[in-house]
Amino acid sequence: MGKLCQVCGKREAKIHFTEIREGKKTEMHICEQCAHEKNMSMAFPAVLSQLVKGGGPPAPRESEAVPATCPGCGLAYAEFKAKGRLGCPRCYAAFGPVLIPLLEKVHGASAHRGKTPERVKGAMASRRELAEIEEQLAAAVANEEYEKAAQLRDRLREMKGKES
Amino acid sequence: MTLDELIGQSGEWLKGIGPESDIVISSRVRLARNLARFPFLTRASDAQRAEIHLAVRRALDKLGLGDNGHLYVELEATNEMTNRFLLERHLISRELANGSGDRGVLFNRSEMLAVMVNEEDHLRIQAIRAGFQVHDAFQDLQWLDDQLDRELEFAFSNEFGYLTACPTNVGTGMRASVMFHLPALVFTKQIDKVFSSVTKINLAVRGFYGEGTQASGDFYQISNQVTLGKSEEEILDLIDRVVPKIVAYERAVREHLIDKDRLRLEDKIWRAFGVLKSARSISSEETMDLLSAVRLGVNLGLLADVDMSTVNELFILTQPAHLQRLEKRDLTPGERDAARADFIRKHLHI
Repeated sequence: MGKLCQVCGKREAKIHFTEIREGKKTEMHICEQCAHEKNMSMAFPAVLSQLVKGGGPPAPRESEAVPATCPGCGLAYAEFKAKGRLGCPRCYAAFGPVLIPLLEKVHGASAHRGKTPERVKGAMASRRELAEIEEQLAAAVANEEYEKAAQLRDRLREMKGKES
Repeated sequence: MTLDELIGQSGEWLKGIGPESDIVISSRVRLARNLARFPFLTRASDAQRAEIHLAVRRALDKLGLGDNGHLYVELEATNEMTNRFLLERHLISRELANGSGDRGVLFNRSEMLAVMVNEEDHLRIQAIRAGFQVHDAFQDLQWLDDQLDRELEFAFSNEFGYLTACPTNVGTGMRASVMFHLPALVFTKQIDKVFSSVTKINLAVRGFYGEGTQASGDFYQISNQVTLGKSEEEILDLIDRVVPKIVAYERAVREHLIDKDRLRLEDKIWRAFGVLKSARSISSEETMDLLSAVRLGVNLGLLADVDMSTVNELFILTQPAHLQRLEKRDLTPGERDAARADFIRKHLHI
C-alpha cells in the first residue's frame, strides 16, 4: 500500500497534488472518496490550503463543504433535512460531511461492519491483487529484472482484459 | 397458488411451535435493499418505479422462493380489502398497503418468506419463523439476498454498507424483531419496566402490527434500532441476550400469579373463554383481549382441550378483512361483529 490519505487516514491515497505558492511547495495525498466528498477537483487550492492549515479534515460547514444538491439525483440538502429521506445511493457520499455526524447520533457509529455482498468482495480482492502486481512490476523494473517484468505485465493485461 | 387458498388457514409461523412458543410468537428478520442503478423511491419517476418493479419481478421469477408454490400480488391492481387482508397476515407493511404506484409482494406457501417491492426501499426481504428462532430466520434470507444481489446489484458502499432511503436503516439494512405474548406482565402492570430497560439498550418496542401500532392482545415486538457499525451477528446476539430475560420475567410473574392470585387469574381466563364461546356479536378489540386471556389459560394448562394453534390463528382470522374475504362480501361493522362471534364459536367448539 502506498501513502495513506491525509484526510481520512484510512484509505490509500490515489490523488497526489503539489501546490507551489510563493516559492513554497506543499504536497497533498488524498483518496478518491475523500476527494469526491470534498469536491477537490473543483476548488482544489482553497480546499488544500484549508486542509493543510487545519492539519486535518475541515469542520463541516454546511454552506461550504456540502454541495447544496446531490449530483446523482438533484436532491436538495434542505429537502433531506425536512423529510429525512435521501434521494439516491450517491447522496451518502455527496452529503457525507453532514451525514456522518447524524449517523453517529442515530447509530453510535458511522462505518459499516456487517455483510459485504459476494460480488463486491470479489471485486475488492481482484483490485487488491492488481495493486500488488503493479507494485511487483515497478520493483522488477527498478531492479532491471526485465524477464520477470514482462511476465507481470502480461498477467496485468490478462486481468485488466477480464475486468473490462 | 391463489389468495383464496389462504383463507381459513394461517402462516406456518402461527402454528404455536418453536422454542419458547408459550411466550415468543415469532421471530422475524427483514433486510432493506435498493438497486444501485436507480434513485430511491422518493426521487424515482413513475417510469423508473415501474422499471424497478419489473427488474425485481424478473429476478424473483427466475429465482423463486425454493418452496412448493409462491404468489406475487401486484398491489396496484388489488382493492383496499385485499391489501388489508395481506396486512392482517403480516405479509405487507402499512406503508405498502396504503401506498400508491407500482408495488407488490411475493411470498411463499408457508408465508415464511416474503419480499415487498417498492415500499420505502426498492426491496424489503423478510423471513419469519415460529417461536424464538431469530438466527434461523436470518439464515433463511441469506440465499435469497445473495442471489438477488447477483441479479440486481444492490446499492452498497464499503464505508456505509447497504444504502437505504432512510439513514436509520443504512449499514446492514437489517431489522430483527421478536414478537412476545406478555399477558402476565400486563396484568400485573410490570410491562413498563420491561420497556424502559429494553429501550435503554437501544431496542425498540412496538405493537402487534409494527411501527406506530397499539399493543393489542398483550402482544409486543422488540427490535434493534441500530443498523450501522455492528455486524448482523452482533445485532442478533443482542436480541439473543435480551429475549430469554423477558421470557423468564413473564414466566416468573405467571408462576407468582398462580401461587398468590390463582382465583383472580382463573376467573379472568374462564370468563374470557365463556364469553368467546357464547357471544353472538363481538368487536375486534374485545376479541383480542379475551383471546389473550385464553391463550394464557392454554399455556398454564387450565384450558387443556383448546389447541394452541387454534388460538394463535384466531388472532389473525378474526380481523375485519379476513372475515370479509371468508364471507366473500363487504360487511358493515355490525355484520362483522356477528360474523366474528360465529367464527369464534365454531372454532372453539369442543
